[in-house]
Formats: sequence, C-alpha cells, structure tokens
Amino acid sequence: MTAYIPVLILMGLGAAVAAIVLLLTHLIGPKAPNKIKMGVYECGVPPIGDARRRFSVKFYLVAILFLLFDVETVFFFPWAVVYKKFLSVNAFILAEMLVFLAILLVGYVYIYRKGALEWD
Amino acid sequence: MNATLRSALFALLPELVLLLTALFVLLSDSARIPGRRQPKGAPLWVALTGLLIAAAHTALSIAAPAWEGSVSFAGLELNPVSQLFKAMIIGSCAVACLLARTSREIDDRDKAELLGLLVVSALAHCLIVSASNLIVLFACLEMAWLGTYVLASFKREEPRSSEAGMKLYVYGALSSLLFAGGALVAYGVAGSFDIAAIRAPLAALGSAHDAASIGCLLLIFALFFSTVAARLALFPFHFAAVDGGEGAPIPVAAFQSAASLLAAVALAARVFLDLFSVRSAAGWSALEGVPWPYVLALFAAASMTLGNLAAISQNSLKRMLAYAALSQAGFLLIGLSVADGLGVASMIFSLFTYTVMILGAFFTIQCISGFYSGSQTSDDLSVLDGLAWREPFAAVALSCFLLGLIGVPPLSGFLGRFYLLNAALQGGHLWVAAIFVLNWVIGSAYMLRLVARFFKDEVAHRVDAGTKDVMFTRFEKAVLVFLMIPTIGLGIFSDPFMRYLSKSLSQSFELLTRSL
Repeated sequence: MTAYIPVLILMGLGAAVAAIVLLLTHLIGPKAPNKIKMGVYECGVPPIGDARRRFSVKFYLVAILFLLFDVETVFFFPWAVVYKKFLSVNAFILAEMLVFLAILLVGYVYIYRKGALEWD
Repeated sequence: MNATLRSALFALLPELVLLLTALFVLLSDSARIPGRRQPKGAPLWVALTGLLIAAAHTALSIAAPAWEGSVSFAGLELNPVSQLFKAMIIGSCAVACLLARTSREIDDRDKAELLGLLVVSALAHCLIVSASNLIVLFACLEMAWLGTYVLASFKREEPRSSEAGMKLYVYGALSSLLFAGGALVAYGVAGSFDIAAIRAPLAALGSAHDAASIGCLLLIFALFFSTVAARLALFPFHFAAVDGGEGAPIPVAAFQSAASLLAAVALAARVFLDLFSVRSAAGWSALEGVPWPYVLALFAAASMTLGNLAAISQNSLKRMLAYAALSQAGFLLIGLSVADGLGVASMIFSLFTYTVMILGAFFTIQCISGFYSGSQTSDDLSVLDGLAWREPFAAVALSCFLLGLIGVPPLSGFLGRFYLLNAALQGGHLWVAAIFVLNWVIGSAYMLRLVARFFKDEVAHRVDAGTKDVMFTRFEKAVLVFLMIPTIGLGIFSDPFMRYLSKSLSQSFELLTRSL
C-alpha cells in the first residue's frame, strides 16, 4: 500500500498546480473585460452556429506531432522505474536513453526547421 | 559467441552507420549555413556516403571477419550469411537512392525525406536478417512494415500511390498480428523468446503423440508460416505486394522488390531452418509433426504458376514486374523447401542475381518512361515499342535484365534456376522439379512477348519537353553497366561464388547447432 503514496503525491501536486494557476490569474491578472474576450474560446472557430465548418489542417499536424512526443514521454516511465537498479551496474542505461532522446531530438530539429510548428 | 559490448558495437557498425546516416540526411536537409547558399543535393551525398561506409564494413566482415564464426548480442546474431544479405540490402538501398535522384515522379522538396525513409527501411531490413530473438524480430518487422507503407504512399496526390500504401498497411498489420500470435504461443510453450531456446520444446511437442501437443505445434506452425508467407508475398498473400508494386513510385518499388524479398527470405530461413528443423549431416530435417518442406513447396508452386500466368495479360510495366517478382519468390522457395545445403546455397545465389536484375530493370524503366512521359510516368507497355531501333542501349540493357529474370542462358538468372533445379532433383523431389520446369518454360512467355515488342517497327513517340534531353546520362549508363556486369558475369563465372556460399552456410549453421 505504501508504494502508492508517490501516486497520491502526484495527484495532489497536479491538482494544486492547476488550482494555484487559476487563483493567481484571478488575483494578479489585469481586468479589462470586453464582449469578445469574455466569450467562449474554441481555438479561433466561432463557437455558435453550424458545426459543419472547415477548419485548418494544422490541427491535425499538431495532434500528430503531440502524439509522437507523447509516446516518447510514455517510454520514459518504465525506463525511470528501472533506472536506479540498472545504474548501479554501469552507465549503459543512461547512454541508451540518451541515444533515444538524440534520435527524437533530430526529429524535432527537422520539424522545427521545416516549419511544421508555424501556424500560418 | 556472446560478445562484449565493444566488440558487438564494432560488429553492428553497419546498422549504427545506417541510423546515423538517416539522421544526418534529415539534418542536412534542414540545415542552413548562415551566409552561404544552401548546398543542393546534400542529402543524397550524405545518404550515399553512409551507405558506402556501411556496405564497406559489411563486405570487410565477409572477406576478413574480425570474429570467429558468428556473434550474438542482444537478440541479434551475425554470421557470414547474414552479412551477405545485409550487403545486398544496403546495395539495393544505394541503387534506390540513385533512382530517387533522377526520379521525375517525386518533388525535389520531398527527396530528402524519401532518402531518409529509404535508409531507415534498409536499416530495418538489415536488422530482420540478423534477429534471433522473437521480440527483436517482431520489433524489426514492424519497423520494416512501417517504412513499406509510408514509402509506397509517398506520392500523396496520386490515388494509386495512396491506395498502394493503404493495402500494404492492412496486409502488414495482418502479418504482424499473425507473428505476434505465433510468438506468444511459442513463448507459452518454451518460456523464452530466444529462437535457439524454443526449438527443443517444439521438438518435444512434436514427439509427444497426443492431440493437444500436435494441435499446439500445428497452431504455432500455422501462425508462423502465415507470417512468413505474407512477408514473402506468396499466394494467397500476394495481392498487397502486387498492387503496392504498381502504385508506389519507382525508387520505392525497386527497393521493395529487392530488399523486402531479401529480408523475407532471411526470415523464412530463420523460422523454418532454425525454429522448425533440426540440423543433421544431410541438411535440415523438419521436426516431427511439422512437414514444412511440403507445405512450402506447395505454396511456392502456386505462387510460381500464378505469377507467370497473371503476368501474361498485364499492360502495366510495374505490375508485370511485380508479378515477375512473385513468380521469382516461388522459384526461390523451392530451393528452401529442399532443406539441404545445396538447396539453400542455390537459393541465395538465385536471390542475389535476382536482386541485381530487378534493380537494373526498374532503373532502365524509370529512365525510359521518364524520358517519354515526364512526371506523369505512365508505365504503359506501349512505351517500349520499337525500343531497339530508337535507343539501342536501352534495349540491350532492358533485355539483359528481363531475359535474365526468366532464366535465359548465358545470363545469371539461368544459372540460378539451374542450380535450384539441380538441388530439387538431387534432393529427390521429382514432382516439384517437374512443376519447376513447367513454370520455367511457361513463365518465359510474357517476358519474351515483351522483349519482342522492342523490335516492332518504328513508332512515333512524343518526347516530353522537360529537363531531360537524353534518355540516359553518362552516370546512369555507368550504373546500368555496373549492374549488367554481375548479371552476365555470374552467368559465366558462378563457381567461386557458389563455393563460397556453401562454405559459409555450413560454417554459420554449424555453430547454431553446437549449442543444442
């Protein structure tokens, strides 16, 4: 049971971060509301009206890129769990993850350079 | 032998170089040196350099191996035969990169991505050849499959290309599913994913004569056999490969025909010879209860026949070559189904000559149809009418490769098939040999009909106004001559190569059985 305390802490921290950010925005943010700013935000798409409307294909690109780097993050978790155990043998496990990161970094540089992260 | 990390890294240098090459191809495409003009064609040179280094290292490890026999590391096993396969795969990737350079089907902006994908695909196929662990094999099969369908659908605007990609996607997913199923059941039986460790429990299953064991063994065999058949594009799994070969752009189709078959044959050898057989003095004998030579011979004969007959009525060059590749796969597997050293050696010889010839054929076809139809590369057969009178060099090159594919002496295709027939007869498989000969003769029909079109009377062809004013630049001619040399040379001087193959085969597989 005690093994799950880190999970509890993670949950608490996540909730706390979200709550603190909202609180700070409310307290120290400038207050100059107008009708458009107070309206519902839907990524630039008009929120009221016919749902059959064209939207930018950039959404798809962002989703795919997010998926790739999210899968990379997912691969980090099991590595992190066994990291300490393997590090006591030699530094191979660190080198392995660095190689993985390097490959994905090259991918990131490529998409940055090719302009896939530009919205327009 | 089990390798230390350092010697393993040295042995795996070709794969590492291929990985770095792919990364650098992407980087060089997006690099912008401030102040100087961006170098054009940099990705191609990076790709070719990397491939050259990898091929050189592989060739060196065949000629003067730095290790004794075979090296095992982390689920990969390197031995002289696997190095030979890798050299062929890297060579076909290099030719595909050269094809991509002069291809008019592909936008200049996209060429770097095509090169990067080709190199990664070559890496995946190289890893399949050396994998000796089911998990590693599964990961590499997935990697290769991913490359396959992404490359096939590279021309996004053309519907045939997207359709080819979609079909390869579905069939690849199916074959991966079958493999995963087989690997899971095998793990359940054996308790290990290592191929060397699975053989003994499977043999035990076979010799226990109760229904449950036999059923389990047959299930594992059926799953693995289906996977191998799907990767080899045997009948009835050939549909995706044929449509994929037709719809994909020519550099991709060339690479797929060569490297995919190489890796699939290596996979077949790994599964059938290592997993489902026991090495004996006379060759390999199938495990009790798993009659894989007969099943394989049956499917191979069906593929041969189908490929030869279906190619007769084709009007599309690429589709005809795809069916030719299908029938060639059938011919090759007859050698594997004989299951002795002679059979496997002749299969590898035939595979090597086939690789060279199919790459040459695709290269010539790209030059020809690029000249006449530009970016709308129509691969209609009418483009070949009267070729001998218009462009003698093209006719000579293309007939060399095409006639080699159907096995006309003195080209190397003939010797390949001759050795295979010899192996089948010496193994005592008379029915198989009879079907082989029948298909050899009937299968020549479509290719001879094609070559006869070269000599048709002068037909006016519209030359597409483009950047090309000659059909073959000097460099392309040089590449074609380079490919024609083994085609003709191996048809005449095949003995040293065959002897080398038999020797390295017996060396490689002997070490595997020592651990039993």
